[in-house]
Amino acid sequence: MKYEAVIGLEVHAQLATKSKLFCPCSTAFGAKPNTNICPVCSGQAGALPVLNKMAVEMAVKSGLALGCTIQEKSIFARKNYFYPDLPKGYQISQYEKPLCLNGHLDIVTDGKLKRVHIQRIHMEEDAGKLLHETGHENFSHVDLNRCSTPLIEIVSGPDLSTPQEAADTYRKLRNILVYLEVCDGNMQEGNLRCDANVSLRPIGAKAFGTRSEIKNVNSFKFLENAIAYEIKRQAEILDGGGKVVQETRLWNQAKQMTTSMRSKEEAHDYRYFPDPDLLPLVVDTLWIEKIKSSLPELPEAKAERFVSDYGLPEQDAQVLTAEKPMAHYFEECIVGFNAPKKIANWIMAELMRELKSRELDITQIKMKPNQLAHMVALIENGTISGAIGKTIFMEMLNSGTDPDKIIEAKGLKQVTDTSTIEIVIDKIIAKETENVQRYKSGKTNVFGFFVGAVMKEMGGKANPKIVNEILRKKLN
Amino acid sequence: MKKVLEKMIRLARLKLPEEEMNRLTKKTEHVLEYIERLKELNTDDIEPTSHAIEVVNAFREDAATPFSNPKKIVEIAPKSFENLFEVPRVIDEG
Repeated sequence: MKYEAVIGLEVHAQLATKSKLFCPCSTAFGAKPNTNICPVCSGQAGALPVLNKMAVEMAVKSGLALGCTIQEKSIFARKNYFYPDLPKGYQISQYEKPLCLNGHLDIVTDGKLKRVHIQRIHMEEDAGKLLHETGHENFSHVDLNRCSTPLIEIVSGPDLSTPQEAADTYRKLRNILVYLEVCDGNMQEGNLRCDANVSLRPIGAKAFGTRSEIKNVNSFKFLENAIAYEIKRQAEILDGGGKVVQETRLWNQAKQMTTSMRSKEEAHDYRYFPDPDLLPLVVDTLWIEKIKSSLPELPEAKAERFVSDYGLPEQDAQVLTAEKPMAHYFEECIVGFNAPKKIANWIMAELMRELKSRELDITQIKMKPNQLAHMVALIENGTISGAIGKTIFMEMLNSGTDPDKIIEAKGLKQVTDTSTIEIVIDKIIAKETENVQRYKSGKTNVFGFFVGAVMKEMGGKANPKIVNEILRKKLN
Repeated sequence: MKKVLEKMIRLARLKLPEEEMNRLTKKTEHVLEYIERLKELNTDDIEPTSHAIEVVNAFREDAATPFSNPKKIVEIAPKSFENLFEVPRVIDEG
């Protein structure tokens, strides 16, 4: 039978606050185990949580950027379950009354626009970290540093139908959160995590099939792989007359498969109830307006501006604005040399290729925007050729040296002096008598050979326009 | 009723002697009967009560201040190992 997949995402984003959600412990990543803990986050009797105001503002920001309605009153609830990474025996979350409701996110997959519903965004605290590889067969070990760091959970509607759409949604969500500076978006460090709910139904059917929830997907590629695998797995079960079991599954990238995960708590009976230690959170219109006015320019608006202000094609604008640091780099280049399309070409072709192959991001390179801009300016004013530009570009990328210094050190300045070029051309013509004959007999396609020979002789430094002119004059 | 109570007790990781169970079953039945009676009231236009007092919003500013003695917290745990809490082995991967 033919099926269609129904996919929804739950994204957990760690808010980029300095301190935890309910206590003043630091949220810094990579601290020694159990150094950033206190009576509140380690669940000592009698300790009282107090809400971090910045975390609320960051959550509201995220909600506004995703078109949500910010709820005037929201309530923190206890989600009860026993697990060693949760010292209180419950996680403080929001359940019936979350902070943000009913937003949306537009994605473009294979040229098709799709509006993805954002059902809710709620605030909650993270759990601690369990370590199993400490060399003890019968024990696990717990580091509570991460315990109670602030998270938002963003829940999408079951609106996605392909692994690509899911990955595009996740990617765009990450970009928006990073733009807002509410989340670092670092998936390796786990400050952005995604679970996917996947079910199948016969094409055309209205009712949802039984879903499985996939956890542990910490890259866009893994998310795509995991969902694709899950769709295939469920289709095989259904085709064989079986029933999909509602369960949580873990993605195993090494084995390229999902495996069933034993349930944390039987029947998932979390017995939610309002946390009596925390007062209701009220965000009034005035506060919302204040936060709204602090929102930065988001990717879509920035892309539109790149089209209208810089005259870039829409495709270029999309590529350049997808990630905030890249957009910033581009604009810094424009300050140095106002040739948007030329700069965009260098960034999208040369720079992005190199970043990809070197597995770097734009914030990690030595080449400064004004250096790239200056190099493009040197090409435009004829000081260097485009080919030399590529040499300089690689050198700048490797060492961060100024283009002028590279040109001077390597003697790469373009030769525009006609008499110097003429001497070389005369030499080539004298040597290549056969090819000169060919040209004169009408085989004008050997012209390119002469240009190449001159360029080679001059180490690529001759001004191509002048070479062309003189060659043509001499050969005709 | 006893079944419900047994489940709640299991979820809360409690263990009760049989006579205590019987006593609590009866007590819980009374509580639930009372709630059934309360349900007769029409509460259509009443917002569910989450908190007993009408106070909202208590915040702290986002500043990181280390706790004076985090080591002590590990020390008072039943078991620890190299500044980590030690617990019976739990692993999720099936």
